[in-house]
Amino acid sequence: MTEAKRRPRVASIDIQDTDTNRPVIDAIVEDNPGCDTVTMPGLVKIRREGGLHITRETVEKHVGGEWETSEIQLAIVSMSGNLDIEEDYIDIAWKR
Amino acid sequence: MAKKASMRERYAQMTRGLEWEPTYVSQKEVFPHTDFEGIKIHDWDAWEDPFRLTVEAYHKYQSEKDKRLYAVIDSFAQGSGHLQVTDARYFNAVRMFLQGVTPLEYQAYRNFGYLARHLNGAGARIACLYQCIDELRHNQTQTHAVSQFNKYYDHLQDANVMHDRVWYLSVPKSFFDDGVSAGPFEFMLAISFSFEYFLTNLLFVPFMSGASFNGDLSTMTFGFSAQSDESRHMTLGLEVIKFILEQDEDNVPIIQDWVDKWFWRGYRLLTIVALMQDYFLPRKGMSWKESFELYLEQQMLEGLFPDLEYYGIRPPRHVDQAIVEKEYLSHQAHWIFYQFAFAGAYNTTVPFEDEQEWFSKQYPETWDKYYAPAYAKAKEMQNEGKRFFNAGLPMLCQVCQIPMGFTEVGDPGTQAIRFSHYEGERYNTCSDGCKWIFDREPWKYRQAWLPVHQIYQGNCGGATVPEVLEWYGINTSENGEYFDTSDAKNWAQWHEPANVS
Repeated sequence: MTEAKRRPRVASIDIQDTDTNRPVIDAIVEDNPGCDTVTMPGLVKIRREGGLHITRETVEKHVGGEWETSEIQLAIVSMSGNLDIEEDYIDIAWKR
Repeated sequence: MAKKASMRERYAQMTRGLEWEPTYVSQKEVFPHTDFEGIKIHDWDAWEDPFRLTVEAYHKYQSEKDKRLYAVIDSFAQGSGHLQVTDARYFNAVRMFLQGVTPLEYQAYRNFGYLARHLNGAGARIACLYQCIDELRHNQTQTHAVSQFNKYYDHLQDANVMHDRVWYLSVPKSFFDDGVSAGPFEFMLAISFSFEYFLTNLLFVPFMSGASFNGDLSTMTFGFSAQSDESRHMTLGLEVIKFILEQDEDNVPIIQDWVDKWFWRGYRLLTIVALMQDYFLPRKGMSWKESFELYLEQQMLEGLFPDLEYYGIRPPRHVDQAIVEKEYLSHQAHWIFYQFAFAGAYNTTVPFEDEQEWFSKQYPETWDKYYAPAYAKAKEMQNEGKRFFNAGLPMLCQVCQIPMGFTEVGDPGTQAIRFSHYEGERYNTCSDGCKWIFDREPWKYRQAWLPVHQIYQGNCGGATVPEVLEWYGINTSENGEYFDTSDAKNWAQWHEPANVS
């Protein structure tokens, strides 16, 4: 891998494609302008250059009720990046 | 009233807050296993768990996951879900999974239990405790999810016995045996980095998406449910590597060596996943090559490794060879499986015409030139009533234990073989990667339990093929050529148009 060949650092999250998770997916897309989503059978992959920022507030707006950031564990299949999870937000990004 | 503690505070109180310094005995007596590998840890408190999970939260989410999973498995079984899959050939993927992967989950459960006791830091121990319970959960949910198929299809019984005995299953088994017989830090790196970061992403994401595409809700759901735990395990894997690297500069070359070793060990193990992905999913979604590009080249080489470069870690040795092999790895693997199907707990057949067209599109550099002619010949022989089986016993690689079916890198027409000499004996390996691993620790790999050698030594039930297969626990009326099995006959019968007259 040479410097010249390296693509921009993309972080991603794979979410199970279910009705329960639809509002979560919509919220992530809303919070991350410029992200791209890839739909595969059974799952949706959301990718964004520079990282993903997910806020509890936006997810709660879409869910229409309370949502704890830890509940991401019920929706996630996989991810790529370093995770930082707090009460009000989740960040997934490569650090360097 | 006091303010509720934050996530971070709760986690700190419920993990480190419960730890104490031993006074009656020394640290060394309580944790005797963490210095012989040469890894230097100065401050276990620097360990961070990004998920900040307390035991209470862990149980809450895991039980919710299980409820959702079992609801799907139950309703799928209740609605004769097995009839909804694309084709009975699909169940070979499920067989491969249950025989090859599920027993590994149990091995992981055992060794993470060991780590949960033997690592010095409370943060590290609690992360390993969760992973230990996770791995047992995976072993159980996989067994439950697949058990419904056992009523209708063969080779799903006795997966644990097969795992210990059958020739191609020594490949995954030896990977884990290699890991659990290493020290605690090497095991953690082997499993958290190689298995979780690299391997499970390919096994539980594109492959499970393929299961969904082939109508197997049960497998898809246990796969995704397991992988949601794996995202925690991958996070642990990252944390393990960074934590060790940040603790002491002397750790860097040791970690680099393990990254090199376990990348190649993991990659060779993925040969089985490549085969499942391209050949055992009758309806094709993502090819092995595409999956490899997405999860290994993009996510690992362009995501993880630039982060590790900061600590002085370079991408794994031999990774360039793996990238070249994506053009033909699955085809070389299936060709081995096709010809030895009489001795395995699965069945195979020549890929159908539409599959061959898909291979030709996905693998333009190799399919038409190397593999289409081989299967054309196999088809011709089958039509003459001479279905091709290879009656010999193959030479195995001393490290990955895969039969010598690989070729020189970038040259699919030339058989590859490497030799090492150790204490007057010659040892054979399949590639530069496996040879490099053997030469690092020849005293370890000389002890490999190689199925073919064991048969010759008389340790596998007898001197003839039927005796060995009986010892393997394989029902020989249901393996070999797919079209000669009950799978094919039952499938046709179950899918006859309903008689409505």
